[in-house]
Amino acid sequence: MKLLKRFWKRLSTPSKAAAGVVLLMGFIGGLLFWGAFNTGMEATNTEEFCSGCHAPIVKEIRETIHYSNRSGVRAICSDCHVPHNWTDKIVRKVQASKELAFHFIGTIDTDEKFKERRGHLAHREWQRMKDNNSQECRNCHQFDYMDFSEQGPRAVSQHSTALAAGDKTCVDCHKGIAHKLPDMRDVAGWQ
Amino acid sequence: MSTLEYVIWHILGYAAMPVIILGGFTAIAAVCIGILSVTKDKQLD
Repeated sequence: MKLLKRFWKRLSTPSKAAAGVVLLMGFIGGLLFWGAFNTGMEATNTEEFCSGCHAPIVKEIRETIHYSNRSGVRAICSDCHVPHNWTDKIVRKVQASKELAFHFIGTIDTDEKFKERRGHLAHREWQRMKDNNSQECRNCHQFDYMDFSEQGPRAVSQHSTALAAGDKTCVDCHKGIAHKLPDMRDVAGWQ
Repeated sequence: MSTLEYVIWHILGYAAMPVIILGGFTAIAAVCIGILSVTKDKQLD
């Protein structure tokens, strides 16, 4: 309490330093804080960080078009699993604190444990993407710019009807595009 | 994710934002005050 009082007194007592100096210190300090905060947050968006717990599924993307393709554009874990806009990203990061707890108690620290839990993890992620209308897919794949003449007949029939009407969202059909599928017996509409 | 879990995480997530911003402000203020105090230009007692 005494420390707080001293802190407040220092805050409320004018310094002899020029106002410009104080403002500059605040400005530079703010830049440093924000830079450090965002750098730290971006460090948790790297593939190396994700591999810390999810190594088996991070490897799987190497066999898919989201890793290697004719145009050389690739997606990393956070492109599809972390919202891009700041507020939703913070909510997701806070939620991920629970996943850190599971990391420390070793919920998926062996291949066997991971395989056993894979279906549960996949279902949660599909539901999350369904709830946000596959926002992470749409960051790159924008419906308004889809050229149906370049798509196959089955894709056109689905995109022009269910997707266009909003009855379905990307992840309803595009499951397992970057990872192997878990046991799909309980997934509705999946053959 | 259940609705309850969804609501809890969103409350915690949105609550974290002002905590981050105000925490950063407080930390920067403390550092700046510390630096300014080096010159001992205030009489606190």
